[in-house]
Amino acid sequence: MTKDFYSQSILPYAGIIIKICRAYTDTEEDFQDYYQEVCLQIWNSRNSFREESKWSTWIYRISLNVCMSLLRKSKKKQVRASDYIEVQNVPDEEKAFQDESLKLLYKTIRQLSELDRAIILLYLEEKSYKEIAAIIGTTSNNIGVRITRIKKQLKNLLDGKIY
Amino acid sequence: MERSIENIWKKGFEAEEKLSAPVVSNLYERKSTLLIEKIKRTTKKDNFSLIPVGVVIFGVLVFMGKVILGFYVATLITALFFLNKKKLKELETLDVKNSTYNYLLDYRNQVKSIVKFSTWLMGVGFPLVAIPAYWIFFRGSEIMSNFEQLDLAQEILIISGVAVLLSILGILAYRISTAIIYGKLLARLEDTIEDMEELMKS
Repeated sequence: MTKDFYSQSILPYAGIIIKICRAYTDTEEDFQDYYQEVCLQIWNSRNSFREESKWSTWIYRISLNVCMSLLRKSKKKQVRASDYIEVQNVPDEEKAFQDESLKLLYKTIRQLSELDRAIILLYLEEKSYKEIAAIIGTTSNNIGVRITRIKKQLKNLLDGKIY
Repeated sequence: MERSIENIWKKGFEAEEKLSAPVVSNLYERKSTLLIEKIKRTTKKDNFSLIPVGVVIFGVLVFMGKVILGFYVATLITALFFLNKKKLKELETLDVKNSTYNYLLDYRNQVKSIVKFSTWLMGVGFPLVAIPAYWIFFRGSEIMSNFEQLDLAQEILIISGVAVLLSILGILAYRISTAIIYGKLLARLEDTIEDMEELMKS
């Protein structure tokens, strides 16, 4: 990956990549790994970008795909490893964010399914239903219904903690 | 006032100072390690698969009453297994403390040299060991007595023809199996080296 590519095509979107990676990882070490893997995949697939969508949409899509795929792999590994040892999942919230409510919100988002996490992240980033549907690969109507459900679920999980 | 998740998100990140990108470092080191480990695992598995193949062939030949041929083939497969093992051990001697780029280059060169050696083995060695196997298989049969009635020139011509055919088949089989088993991994090795070269140019 060239330094120019990183600074011009990835760094301006680092914020969203960080937000996405945080939602799929519990530890600082995993976060660093996921972030690097996303950057590498963006670099590897740069030639497949067809300009049919915005570059930012492309970044969202790759980031989410990479994070979901890595999470699935790590879940499989944990299942295998847990046959032999007790897997310790050490939350690293303190290092991630300073805002207490944000920490709690992230912790709650991580309790959602992989796909629901992706949808709510895009929604919170103020993406339109149409854009979320394009990134996820479904219809706007479906996204609308799911967002209502996810928000309700989040509210229940957060009930009494931050309101 | 009730705080919505939208509000927490927006305000939270407005105040967030730590939203700076992690340094992309050692990226290729990690990728390279994973790739090399995968190649190593595949080569080991590939080599160990010779053992059940040898056992099955030995069993089938013994069942057919070709005990000597069975031992002959089993010995050859065992020898191939140990030869491969020795070659793969040479890969372990590469200096991993070297720079990642140089390590990958060394690894690629070693792999190329193994492929070259194996192609030679299949092209020359395979016919040399297969022809005696045919002789053991057909000795005492009608085919062999017909063959023995031919004059020397005809015999040499037939043996040479069979040797060339076995050589071509051996090389072809080796290339196809290598492409199937290692094709993607070796392509990834090439891509990683190219990426690193591009990175060094910038």
